[in-house]
Amino acid sequence: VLLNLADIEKADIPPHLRPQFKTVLQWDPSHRYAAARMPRVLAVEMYEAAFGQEGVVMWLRSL
Amino acid sequence: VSAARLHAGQEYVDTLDRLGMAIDGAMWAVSANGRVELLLVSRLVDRLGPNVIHRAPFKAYELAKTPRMIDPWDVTVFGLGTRFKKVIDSSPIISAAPVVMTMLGGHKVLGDPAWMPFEGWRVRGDWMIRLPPRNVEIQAQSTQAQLRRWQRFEEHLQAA
Repeated sequence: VLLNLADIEKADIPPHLRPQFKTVLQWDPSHRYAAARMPRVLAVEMYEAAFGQEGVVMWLRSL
Repeated sequence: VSAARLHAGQEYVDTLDRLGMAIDGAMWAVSANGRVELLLVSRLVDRLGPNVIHRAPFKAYELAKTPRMIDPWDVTVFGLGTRFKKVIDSSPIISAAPVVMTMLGGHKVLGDPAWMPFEGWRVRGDWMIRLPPRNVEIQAQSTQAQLRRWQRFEEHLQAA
């Protein structure tokens, strides 16, 4: 929905950023870690996917 | 999900597994907003992180290693600790076998495959490609061999 609002096609996303986009776009409450503690590597990667140098927000701001 | 897509899903999972990605569970599902996706459960997500894991389906697709019918954007990956996996673990065992009902008089009727709700996703019995074992069974196995297979998979993709 957000990509549609921003008028961005998935094909416009550079190939090296697609895994990070997929991480961000796929997240919904079914991905929560409720009983188990979220592994640190997962938390770091989710942050990187959104806000890292090669993350979704950086790319969107560069448009 | 068409029969062709079901078949492609099975091939997709088998291919990724053969290449080196440990896939503990796989199924087609409909999201709360009606999107149909191929859901994968892998113990590697909690060890390597989602970005590392997602690189493989995209790269394998680019290199035409996986069926063209399955777009990696339509593949969602879950770790073992997610709510989704926990709900599967606590649900009755589901089966891809058709539901057969025995009627009064003894004749049998083939019923519609049952829908199962998993944390906002809905899965039909015959959409199950690989029923994930319970976490305790997966965690009892060593992950080291799976990590070594994954490493070879990544090296293979990088060299291609």
